[in-house]
Amino acid sequence: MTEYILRRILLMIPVLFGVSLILFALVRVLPGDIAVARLGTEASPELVRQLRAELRLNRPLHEQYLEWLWGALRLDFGRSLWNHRSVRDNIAAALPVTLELAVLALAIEVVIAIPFGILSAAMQDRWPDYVLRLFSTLGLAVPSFWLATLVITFPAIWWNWAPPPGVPGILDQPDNLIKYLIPAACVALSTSAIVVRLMRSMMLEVLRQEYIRTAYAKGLTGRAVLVRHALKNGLIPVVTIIGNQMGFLLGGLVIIEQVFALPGLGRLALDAITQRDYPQLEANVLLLAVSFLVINLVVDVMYGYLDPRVRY
Amino acid sequence: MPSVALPSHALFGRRLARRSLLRSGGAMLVAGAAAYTLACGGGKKQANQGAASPAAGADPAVAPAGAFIEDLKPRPFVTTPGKPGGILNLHYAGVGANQEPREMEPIASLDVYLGWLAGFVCNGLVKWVETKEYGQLEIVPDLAQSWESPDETALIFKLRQGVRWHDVPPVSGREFVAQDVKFTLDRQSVGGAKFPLAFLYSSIGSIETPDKYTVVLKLKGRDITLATKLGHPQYVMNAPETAERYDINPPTLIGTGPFVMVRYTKGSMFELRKNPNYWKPGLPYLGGVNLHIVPDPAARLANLRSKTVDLDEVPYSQLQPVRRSNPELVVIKFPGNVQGGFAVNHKAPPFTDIRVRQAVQLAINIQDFHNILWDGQAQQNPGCWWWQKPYVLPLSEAFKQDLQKAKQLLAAAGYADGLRFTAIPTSPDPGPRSAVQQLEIWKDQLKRINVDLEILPLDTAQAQQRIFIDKAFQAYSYAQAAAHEDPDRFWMVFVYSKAGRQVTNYADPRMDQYLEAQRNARTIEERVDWYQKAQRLNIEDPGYIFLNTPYKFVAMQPYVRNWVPRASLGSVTRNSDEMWLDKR
Repeated sequence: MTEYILRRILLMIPVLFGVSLILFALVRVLPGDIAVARLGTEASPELVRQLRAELRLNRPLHEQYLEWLWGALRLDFGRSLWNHRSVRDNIAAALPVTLELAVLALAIEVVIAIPFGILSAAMQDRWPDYVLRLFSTLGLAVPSFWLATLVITFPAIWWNWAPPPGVPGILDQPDNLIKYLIPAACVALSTSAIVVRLMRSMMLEVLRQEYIRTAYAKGLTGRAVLVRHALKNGLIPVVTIIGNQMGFLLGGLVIIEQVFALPGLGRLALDAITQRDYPQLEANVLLLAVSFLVINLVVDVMYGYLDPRVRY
Repeated sequence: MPSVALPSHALFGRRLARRSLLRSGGAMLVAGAAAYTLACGGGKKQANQGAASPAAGADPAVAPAGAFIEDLKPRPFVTTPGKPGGILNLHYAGVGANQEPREMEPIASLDVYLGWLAGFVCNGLVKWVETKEYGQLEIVPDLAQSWESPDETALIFKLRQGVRWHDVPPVSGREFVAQDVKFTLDRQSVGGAKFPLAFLYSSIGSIETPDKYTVVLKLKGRDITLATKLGHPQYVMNAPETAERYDINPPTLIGTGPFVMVRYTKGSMFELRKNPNYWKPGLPYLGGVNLHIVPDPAARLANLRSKTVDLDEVPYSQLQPVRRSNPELVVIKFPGNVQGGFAVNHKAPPFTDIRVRQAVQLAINIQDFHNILWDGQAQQNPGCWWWQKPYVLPLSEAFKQDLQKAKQLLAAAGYADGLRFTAIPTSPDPGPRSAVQQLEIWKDQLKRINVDLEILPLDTAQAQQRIFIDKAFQAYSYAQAAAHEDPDRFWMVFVYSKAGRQVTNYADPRMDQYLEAQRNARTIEERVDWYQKAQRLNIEDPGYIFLNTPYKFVAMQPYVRNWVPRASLGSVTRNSDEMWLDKR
């Protein structure tokens, strides 16, 4: 196992190199550049030329790439071309916000989706199954940003209440959970819908296996059969999906962050795209690539735990 | 699919028929929709109870009878001192993603909202105030106690004594002196990409400081507009120590104003606290101001309803629902600070022909733009907008729809069978009141003269490249552009052909003559005359087709006192030191 993990870590290096190369090229071929974006309506060819020179963007691309790569290897991503702050500091400020939101959303999802999926399968074609299927269909159909807008608007209209502003760190102010709980629940509703449906279909498949019939035949209770025998096998694809969802949540919470005024990685990346802030965008995407690689590794390692037949 | 026989729980023993489930689900959806409609202010009966919606064509300046909307009155003279203390909570700037300041030096920034923020923290030499009536601005002293002009090429400012910088490093509360003014003005005169607004102040030749409290500006030539431009909200003083340590990116704004910026949490909040050494004795009343960074419009409205913020701008369409949920809110109506319009490229066919330029303008029914974009709450902008009051051309002279004449002009230009052109919105956002929506209305109106407008939405940076750098466009549309107190800021940049930034390729020598003449005018009346000539010429041969400027509506909690809008920025700013909260 240790050898497998080490091999996978080593394999990450060429993958990340490839990602960095493609990313750098793609970002630079986007039409419009940071100098134009910064100067806006005041842009003139002369000022744009001058600003590009000040930002050192008039150098050959390979030179810029090598400089950026050398910095990235030392975890120094330079300064934002938009606001001159350190890219690393910008990420360090935004990462805890997104991480707390994503972890909380995932926790809610796991707490809701896995029991609901099991229950739906166990009560197939009975009213709890219908209700849960309706819930999961609604979860898939209702966009989280729309739900978020309703969740913000209605309490304000009915009870003159809105989630508190500001984003204190969880260590500074543990009750900041209230700020994160509502957006996390909005995200979790749609992500858990997928997991409920997957969990249900996997459990139904597992519950038809011979060894489950044998377990009942030898007198085990329904709960013991479900939890000790069926669940572990049913979880394998679910873990893969949840792992992938974690990756997506780290970069895909743009709209939720926007609606709830949470300055997370999604907003940072969106601003970087709009502003053509190359160093910030490159660092954000690289961080996302690393997250996916790490999450995939963790998921693969978990397979071995869930299914003893899987050996590395 | 066959079901697996499993032990049933007693709780889940009863089966639910699919039909019953569908019926219950349907009932729930209907109930939900009804709740939503009620909450969002739907329902005919309720809609008739609130402020009447102005009929199309009604004078939008007059609030409907019985409405809860108050038209803005001239600022009352504050006779009694306000209650000290309390934290005022506001939203920072406008709705949108790119709203946080890039630089923390207003004079080096193109971000108009930084001027808004600077109103709390910094001071300029002079400032604009609305002394007589709204829509009429005057320049009054700020850090300069007085000024005089011994001849046409000199301005002498006498500074206030005893003004201190905020007690934060690196200035640490030292006295503000004439050398600081010289440093600020000299530094920005470098221009270039770091100080892109320097061209506005190019008439300043040299700066002398005969003593600690006197600044003499020697001008290269006469410039009647200079004092007005020194009152620009971004033209605030900066200390050499700050610039030396941080260049244009200090971690917080540092100034001499009523509030000290104690913390800026990116993406979250600016925290300002009372400056105990403020140079106006007894002020500010407020103990501090929190500016929350909230880009989403629904969240901003929720914050207003929940009293998380004490005041905010509210779209006209939202006023009735807000009134129902929060009848205690006071709503004030005043002329807004943004404008929208189109521009045509004189070097791009078919707009090389003046008759085509005139025809596409004559196809416009401005009332449609008022109604669709601003619910009728807007006024036509003939070129100078309403805060630039003396310069504004009478609305009777603004362009009006004349489809017959437009068709004749097109036929004379050889386009009797119609024509097709492409327009780029400056932003691809298709939302309400966007540049895209403006083009959609225009497209619909142009069909009546057989002109087919193709809308080409590009990413913002790409659109800016095409329009402002490459000038590769036939027409473009801009929306909600910030308007400024003085007309120079727009006309000398975007219309004057020798400025180097004009993008429409407007080349009528008369326009340059008028704009040069207004700069050299000896009196305001003379300047007004030249600007009105320039507006008439632009209507006769459009480079820019100016549409409208909307009214704004600010809803505030009833305990907020002494709020005054900023002409160019539409919300509280330079009088923040006089605001107070009547809460306790």
